[in-house]
Amino acid sequence: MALKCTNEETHLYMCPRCKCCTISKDLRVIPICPSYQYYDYFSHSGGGKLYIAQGLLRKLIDFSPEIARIVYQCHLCGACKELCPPGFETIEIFRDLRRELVDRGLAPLGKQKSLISNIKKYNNPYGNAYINKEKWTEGLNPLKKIADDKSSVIYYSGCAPAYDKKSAQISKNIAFLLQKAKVDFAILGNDENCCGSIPLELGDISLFKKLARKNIKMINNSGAELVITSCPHCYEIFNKEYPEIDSLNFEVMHTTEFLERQIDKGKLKITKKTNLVATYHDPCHLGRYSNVYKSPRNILKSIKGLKLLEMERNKEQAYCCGSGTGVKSVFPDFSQFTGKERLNEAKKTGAHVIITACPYCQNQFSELNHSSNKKIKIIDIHDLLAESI
Amino acid sequence: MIRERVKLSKQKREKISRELRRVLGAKNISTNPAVLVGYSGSATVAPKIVPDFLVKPQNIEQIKKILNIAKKNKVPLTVMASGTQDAATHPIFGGIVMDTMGMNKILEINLDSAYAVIEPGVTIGRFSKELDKIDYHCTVGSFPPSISVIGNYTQTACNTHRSSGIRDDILGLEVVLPDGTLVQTGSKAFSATYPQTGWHSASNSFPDLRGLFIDACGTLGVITKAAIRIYPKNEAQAMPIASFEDYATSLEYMKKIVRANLVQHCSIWHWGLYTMIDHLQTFGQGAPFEIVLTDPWEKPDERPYTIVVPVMSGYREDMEGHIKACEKVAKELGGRIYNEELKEKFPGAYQFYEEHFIHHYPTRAFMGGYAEAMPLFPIVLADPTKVASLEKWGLRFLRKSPLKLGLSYYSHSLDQNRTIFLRMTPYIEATSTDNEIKRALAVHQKYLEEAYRKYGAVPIRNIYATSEERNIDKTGGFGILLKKIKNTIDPENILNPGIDIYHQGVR
Repeated sequence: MALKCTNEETHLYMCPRCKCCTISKDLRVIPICPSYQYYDYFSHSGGGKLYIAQGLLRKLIDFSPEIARIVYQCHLCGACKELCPPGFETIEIFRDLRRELVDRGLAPLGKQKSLISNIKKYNNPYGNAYINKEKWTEGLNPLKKIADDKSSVIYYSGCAPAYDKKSAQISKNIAFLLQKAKVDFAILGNDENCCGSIPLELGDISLFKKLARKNIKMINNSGAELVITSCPHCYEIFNKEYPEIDSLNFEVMHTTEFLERQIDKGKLKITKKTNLVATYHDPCHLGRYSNVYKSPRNILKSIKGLKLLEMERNKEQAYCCGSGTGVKSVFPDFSQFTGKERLNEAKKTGAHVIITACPYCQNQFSELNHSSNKKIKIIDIHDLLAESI
Repeated sequence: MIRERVKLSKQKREKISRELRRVLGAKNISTNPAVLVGYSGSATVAPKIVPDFLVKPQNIEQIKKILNIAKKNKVPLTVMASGTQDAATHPIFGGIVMDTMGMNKILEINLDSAYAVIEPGVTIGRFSKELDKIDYHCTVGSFPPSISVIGNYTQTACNTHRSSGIRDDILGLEVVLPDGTLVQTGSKAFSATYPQTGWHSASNSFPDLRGLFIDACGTLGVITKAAIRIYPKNEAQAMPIASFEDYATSLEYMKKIVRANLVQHCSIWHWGLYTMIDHLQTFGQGAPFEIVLTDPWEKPDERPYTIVVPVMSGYREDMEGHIKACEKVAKELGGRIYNEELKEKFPGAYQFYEEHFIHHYPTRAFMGGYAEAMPLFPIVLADPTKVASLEKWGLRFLRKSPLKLGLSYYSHSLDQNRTIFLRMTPYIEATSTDNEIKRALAVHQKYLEEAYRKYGAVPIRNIYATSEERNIDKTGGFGILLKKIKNTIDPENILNPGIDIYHQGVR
């Protein structure tokens, strides 16, 4: 076995079991690792999974379904990587572990398998019913398609708008905002492939690479200079992972970064005032993975009358929403625990609204909010911005 | 008596599992290898051994029953709280690992007597946060917030394992012996007859048994509670850092201010180390190896060879006087107060010292190591009459090794400079091969042996059972007595037999 990152050299950097990966940096005792908090075993922490990797490398333990369960009982939120004092590349190591488990037929687990098979068959994780990737454009004036008409900017909507009404509305609002800012953009429409985030996170690396090469080639050939996307998972994949596969002839931005620029340039004018008291949830793949903290906050600052209250765990130390990495489909109780923890934290700020910039975070909070006694409004930042123009 | 690694048959394993499950319930025991491997060791070069069972007791009664199961089945039992760093709690002979972090109550905070009674699962971060609310602090040391207070206060490496004030922090202990006897030390022992008796006194007219369980690596009993000394945050704090150009003069300065009762604690930092700490604090990760590689007796520029960091607190009027006194003594010895320059040139280092010594914040800083390299730990308690010579010799000896050894050190005053903690910090590259590591360890061992033989130093940590050395056999009657105590308390050698600090002929 050759774990890409955990080679023999790193045995010298053995994890000291300090568990700094489980609590937030400045707050001394506030938990940051949902897996450790829920399952209460060191094995579930960032450090614990490093020990699993070491144990496998040194043949102290064998690959098994029990190991697969622990490795997949993790949102890959990246908090451990952020907080690890020795600087272990935990996410890369965990992805490697998952790859090894997939190669041995021990993963993906349960319903995660259908996410992968759906991507292979239908080009999206949700299955046949959601095959129409242009569905979210219904009701809009026809949008330019890159296959028919050149454009320097592509708006990549991701898979979520095709299957979920709320996500579809987000994309509609983004299209509205881009048009308002007189941005000449195109979409990929039904040519849009899945970005490959789910296969990468679940350990099916060959499927991820296949999708990556396909997407890179298509967009390189399109002549577009910039791809903007509203899905943090897609953003991180395009921005960080694709350059490892092949060279990109285009830049990548998250829509919050792009729209912030439009506001700064005066191309988007915020005219309406609000009296919202809100808190902002940093999506893991936008925040920790991609280091985008300022742009969403600058957008919120520019909305007149909005009062922003930060959660105790924010920015690099934001607590995960619990939705990611196929955990929901296999360990729903754990996923709900994580989401409720975050939702309660949002409510504790006194905010009436939780704003987020990820369709998966939004869905997770909406579902959990529905069954909660004390409700809080969930709004996507793009929806809010569109309402303010 | 357990003398070697235990290999359990499938039937025996299942039998023990059943017995443990009856005591703990299914939730607090695991035989899952993926869980067990997390308890196989820590960040040291000691071999990693996956134990057979993990148990997480929630109270003393469960602990007594688990000990009984271990004895009955002749299975080793190793107690681990947070299990950070020290090889003392590695399950080298397998068997049962008892994770005591589930017992995590702060039972009492007594401000009249300035102590708190806590269980092993109370972490430094949580404890210091609670004390913060009432303007008190505990000794924080080089500890990250997530580790056990009791675990780290009782594996003290000769009472040195904390650098924000090396004090005698354990006021009393509650321990379960292998035969199930519950022992409480100090004044609390009398609560067996007078239930209202508290923990206020470490002594009780009988021999002080606290020491028996401190640095015992869990080999004499399972610690279930400790009364910890806590300290008020006084009106004012000060940290007048002085700079010098040689270790001997730094030592002289340290001795003068410590014995004049000006400080609560004092330490000396070599330029290599405060440079690395500056990098660590500023960038959040260890310094690149190239920084570590410079000859330690040749500074790269005008930065001081050493800085001396004293810690003091008290009334404001006191602090003003103490600072003036430190300035005077520093000047007399050819040094100067360096605070402003340190803040300007090495702001990360200054921030570290301030957070650590003034504010008593737990720190993550050391968990990643000072540098992107593998540290060795040739640490000794040195004789003050010879430690300056040891520093000179030690730096050159360690540096001339054929391996690429980065090198620096720090030094603490203990017991009013009656002994000096000296930690040389050689590093080898993270990519070193197993052979290179062996050679580095041999050099490390040679340094230690010379430090003991020629410079009157003593070791601060036990050596693992896999080593040839047996420190206990070098201690004459002391070692003989300790072995007798171990044989009396734990005749079957159930508790952490693999560490073999008593040299009972185990393999």
